[in-house]
Amino acid sequence: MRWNQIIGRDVVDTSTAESLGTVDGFVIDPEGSAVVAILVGSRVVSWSDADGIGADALTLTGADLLHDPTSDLERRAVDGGHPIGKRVITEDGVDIGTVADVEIDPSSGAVQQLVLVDDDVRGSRLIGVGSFAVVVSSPGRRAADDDDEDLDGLSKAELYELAQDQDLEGRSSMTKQELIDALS
Amino acid sequence: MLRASTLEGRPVVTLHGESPHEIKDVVFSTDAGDVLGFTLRNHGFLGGPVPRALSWGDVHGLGPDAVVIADEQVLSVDHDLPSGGDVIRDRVITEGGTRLGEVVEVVISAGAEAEVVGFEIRPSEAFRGGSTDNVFIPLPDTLAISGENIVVPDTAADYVRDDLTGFGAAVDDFRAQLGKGS
Repeated sequence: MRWNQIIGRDVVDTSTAESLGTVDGFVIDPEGSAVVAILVGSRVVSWSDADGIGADALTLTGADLLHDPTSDLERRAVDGGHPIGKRVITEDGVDIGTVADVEIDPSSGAVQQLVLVDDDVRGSRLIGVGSFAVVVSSPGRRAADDDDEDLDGLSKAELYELAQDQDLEGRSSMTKQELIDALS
Repeated sequence: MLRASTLEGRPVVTLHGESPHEIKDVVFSTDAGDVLGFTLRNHGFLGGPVPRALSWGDVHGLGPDAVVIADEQVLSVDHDLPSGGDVIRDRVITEGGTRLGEVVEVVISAGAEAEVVGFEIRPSEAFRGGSTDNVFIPLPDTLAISGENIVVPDTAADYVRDDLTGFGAAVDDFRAQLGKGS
C-alpha cells in the first residue's frame, strides 16, 4: 500500500465507534526499514497495536493505544521527520531524487520502496529519515553480502551511472530491468 | 571527481537526515596539499559563520550534492582546524625545474575515501605551447608544498587531461607508474 493513500483516513476506536482523528503520518525506523508507528495528530500508535487498515479507516481497539511520542524516532516524526517531498541523498553525498511516495507492506509495515518522481529505490537502503533529507546507503558500500540484490535496489539513474562507468553499449535505450541484467 | 570550490554552500547532512550547517570554506594544509576540513556556516543567504568546524577525518562521505557525517556530535567539539591556507595561485613546478602553471582549483575524489587527487592549473606558456586553456594535473600521494611552489614528479606532465572526464583514470595510472618507478 502507498503512504499517500493512507494519509487522511479516519482513525476509529472500535470499542466506542468514536473517531479519534486522522492518519497524519508514519514513524519509520530506518534501521529495520519499517513503519513502527502511525501519527494521529501529535500522538502516535504503534503499528502492531493497529487493529486494521481498511479502505476507509484505521481501526484501534481502544483510545488508550494512542500515546504521546516517547522515543527519539517518534519525536522526530512528530517534528516533521517524514520522507514525503524530501530529497534522497546517498551516504556518499549524491542527491538521487525526491520522495513522491512510500510503498509499505500492509501486514509487516516493511518499507518496500521509496517511490521517487521517475524512479524508485529499495526500502532496505534506508539509513535515516530527517527533517532535511532521507539518507540511503551507497551501492557497494554496506552490504558485501549480496551483490545482485544490490543492483536490484538501485534507482534507474544510479544504474545508468554504473553503465556509463562500464561503457555499456546501448545503455541509453535500456529499461531498468535491462540495465540490471546487463550489469549483473 | 569534483572541484573543491563547488563544495562551498553544500549542506552537511547527518546519516539521520538532518542538516545542521552548510560548508563555508574548504581548508587545505599548506604543507601537503591535503584537505584538513571545512569551516561551516548556517543555511541560507544570510547564514552566518558558526564556531564549529568539520575535520576531514569525520567526513563519512563526500559527493557533489552533500557532505555526509555520522551525526552532529562530530561537530560539537570546538575543533580548531590547524590554520590552513589556500594553494590557489601557487606555482606548480616539476622536480626537473619546469614550470607547468599555477593552481586554479583543487580536485577531490568523491566517495568514502575522498582525497585531493589533482589540481586544475592555468598552464604556463612553455608547457602547453601558448594554449591558455586550463588543464588538470594528477598528484602523487604526498607532495612538497612551500606556500608558493608545489613540486610534482616530472612524469605528472604526461598524465595531464583537458577536462575531468577520464581524469580519475589518469590519476590512477600516474600513481601506478610512480609506484613502479620507486
